Amino acid sequence: MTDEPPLTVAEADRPDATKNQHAIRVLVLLDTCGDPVSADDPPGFVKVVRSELRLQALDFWLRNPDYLAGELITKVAAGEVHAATYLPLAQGLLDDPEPNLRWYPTPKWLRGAYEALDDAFSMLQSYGLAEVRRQGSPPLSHRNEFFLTEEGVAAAADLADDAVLSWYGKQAALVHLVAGSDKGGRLKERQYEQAEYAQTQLGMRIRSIAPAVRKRLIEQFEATGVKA
Amino acid sequence: MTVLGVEVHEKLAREWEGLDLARVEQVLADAGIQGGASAGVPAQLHVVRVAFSGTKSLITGGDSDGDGGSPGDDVAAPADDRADRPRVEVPFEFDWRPVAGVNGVGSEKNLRGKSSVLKVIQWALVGRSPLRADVQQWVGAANVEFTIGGTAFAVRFTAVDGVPSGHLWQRHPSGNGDGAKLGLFTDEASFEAVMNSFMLKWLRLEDISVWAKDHLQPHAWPAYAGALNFNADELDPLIGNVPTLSTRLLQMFAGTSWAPTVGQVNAAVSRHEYETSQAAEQTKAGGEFAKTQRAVAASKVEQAQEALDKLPAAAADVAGVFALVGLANDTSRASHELQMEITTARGVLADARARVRTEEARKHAANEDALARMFFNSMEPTQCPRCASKVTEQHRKAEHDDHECSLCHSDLDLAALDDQVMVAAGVPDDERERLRVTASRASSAARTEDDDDADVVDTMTALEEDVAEAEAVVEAMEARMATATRAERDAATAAATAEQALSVVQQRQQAEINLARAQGSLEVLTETPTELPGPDNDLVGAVLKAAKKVVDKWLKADQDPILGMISDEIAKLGREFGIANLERVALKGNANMTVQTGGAEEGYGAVSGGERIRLKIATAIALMRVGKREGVGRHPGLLFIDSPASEEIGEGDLSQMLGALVDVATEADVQLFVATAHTSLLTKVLPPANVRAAQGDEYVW
Repeated sequence: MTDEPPLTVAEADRPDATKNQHAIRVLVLLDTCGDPVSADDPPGFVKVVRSELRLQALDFWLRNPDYLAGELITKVAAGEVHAATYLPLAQGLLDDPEPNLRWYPTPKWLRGAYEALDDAFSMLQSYGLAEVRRQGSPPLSHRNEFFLTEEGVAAAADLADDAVLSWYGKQAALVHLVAGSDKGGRLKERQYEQAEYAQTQLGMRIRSIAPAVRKRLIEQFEATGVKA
Repeated sequence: MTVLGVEVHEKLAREWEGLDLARVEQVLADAGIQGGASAGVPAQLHVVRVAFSGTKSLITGGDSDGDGGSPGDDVAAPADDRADRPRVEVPFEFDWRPVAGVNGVGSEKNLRGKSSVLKVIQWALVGRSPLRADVQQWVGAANVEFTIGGTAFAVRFTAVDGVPSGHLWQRHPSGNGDGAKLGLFTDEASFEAVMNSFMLKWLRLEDISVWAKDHLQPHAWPAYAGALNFNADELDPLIGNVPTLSTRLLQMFAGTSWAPTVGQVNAAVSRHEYETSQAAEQTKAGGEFAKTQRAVAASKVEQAQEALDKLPAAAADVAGVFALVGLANDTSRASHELQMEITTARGVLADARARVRTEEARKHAANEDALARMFFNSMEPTQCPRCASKVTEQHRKAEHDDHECSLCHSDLDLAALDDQVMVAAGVPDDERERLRVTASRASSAARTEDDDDADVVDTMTALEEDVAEAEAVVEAMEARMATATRAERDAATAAATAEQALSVVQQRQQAEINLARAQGSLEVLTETPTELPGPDNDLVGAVLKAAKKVVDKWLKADQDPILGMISDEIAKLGREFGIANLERVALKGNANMTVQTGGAEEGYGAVSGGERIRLKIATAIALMRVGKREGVGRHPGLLFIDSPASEEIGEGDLSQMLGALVDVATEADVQLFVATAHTSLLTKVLPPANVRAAQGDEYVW
């Protein structure tokens, strides 16, 4: 581990994620983080994420490895996960080139980190991999539920075989570990607790918190006796 | 050529080879020594008239103070406790013609002016008043006539507030008229000077000045005159009243031929010894001071030399120093500039690396996007995401056969379709091109780099080459920086060393200046030959000492017989004066005397007061008698004896002594003045013409 920050791509020069990449992330998140459907759900689906807020929050961690590392360190500090396993993982999220190549800063809107799901999700839907169902109707509040079909589960399993795209499945597993079964509102609160996220002005890209997280990581290495 | 000169030259000739007689004579002459003997021939001084007048200032009713005060205080005078009493001015006039032999002045009470008569005579003869100041002020005029060897003289003066003004006269032998003025005086000093030179000459006396410690103490006529005065309370020394002069007075009064020369030699020897010792002391003191000064100066030279030696020798290469300082500045500036360049180069490198990373990210994103597209393209659409209508087999067939989208039925781009890219022909050209390119990249990545399309590789390679180049630049600059830093450090060290050397040179210059100054100071103090009294001075000393030995011997040879005669005369007179059992007296050359009475011998100082006054008067008379008889001596033959009767000598003794004095005086042709309160004694012993006596409470004048 070095004090020097790893070479990173300048924020301004960073390419935007494409619709295809977005669709891949949503597919993986539904497969990894989705809950099993219940008897009350429509037939033909296997897994479900029951609010867009939760799905957006999950996607935020997936595309911002420094925030994900911070949450892992928090869990280590809380004794919820094994330090010897997860501190090196957190270190990898901060310092390895791979996560940095997949860092796609997210704009912040009123409901937190947000990027419109429509285009990406319609792709999944056109191939019969997932479907969105709306609960409730105006003027009552409504929420969208995101269902994964059996075909979707199979497609996610196919992705695990791809040398490049399989990375998302592994990363989504960490996101799932961090997010647990918290609902979207709670996940948003947790992300707000991470100062940089909260301080980011509306519409601006949420900035990196890597330096602060790296400092906490060093403290945890020292506190737990795990070698970097 | 003098007798003394020849004798001295002879004594010194052995020790001082080639000593010239003329040189000896010169030394003696320079010292004021007369080289021949001059035997004293007595010249008789007789007072023939004493007259004075003035005004007494007396306090009324003050006639009861007969307390027998001091002999000099025998005239009524105001005392402090009577200062405010009424005073009365009393004019007076005194005129007396004393005769040869014994003359007496008496008053039955003290303080009636008897001593003043004697003192007015002395004032006139010496020019110096022994009167009390207030009594002196009473005197308005005086006329004292006297003879020396028969020649008549007179001192006549008036006095205002005690200051005399008048003349010394030589009277006409006939006694008529004023005669010739020998001298004029207007105050005490000129009066004394006139009388001194006159008396020395006419009484054939010599100046008996002596060397007193560090100066020549003049002694002349006043000293002789003092020796003529006898006071009952001043009996030491035997001759005169000044111990240091008694020997000289004896020699002179005894008339020894070498006496004057002895006095001159003694004074010259003392003076020479004093001056030699003074010179030696001054030389010694001066020498020691100079020695100390030289030591201090030498120490300063030493210190300055040490300070100089401590400084390293260094050449003053000022131009070299400036060059080194300039070089240090240049290298420092170059180093700084290089540092700035390195910073810039590192920025360039960081930018280059960032561009590589950006390209990597872009490439990665494109690759992922292509893979994701391939992933989805490999699937068959099943429904419309908008309206959920199912994609039929017919639609799928139409896409394959008729090249229209199975979902929206738009015409597909055939060329893109060949590249496995699904894009509608109606999509703008550039978007279609973008999609085709990303697809080809993805497929090339999928085909594990067997593609020959070099464009992407070229961009990345170019960027990486940029990085490598920037790294090389930075590396080269850092190498140069290391060199420059070393050069800067070396130049700075060299400049500092050079500046220090320059400072040392400046310090050496200052130290050399300090040394030169110290050496200059020392040179100024270089030892000067001490001016010790030289050989010539030694010769003078030797001549004077030899002369002293010679004249002392001659004087002794000449004087001893005279002293014997005088001693015999003293013993005879003493017995006549009433000293019982006086067997023998021995007057010594040093004016001491041993007295043998009843087989016991004692010194003059040890005998009783009554005997001492008899012996002292006897000595004076003896000197005069022997002088008269032998024709050798210098005593003027005049004595003043004031108040001889006191507790020391009773009236009977005084009567006996006076009687003897009358006989002796007549025989020796000397003149005595005796002042006493025993008026009746005077009138009984002396003829009436010889006495001026005041009876009862009367005043003498």
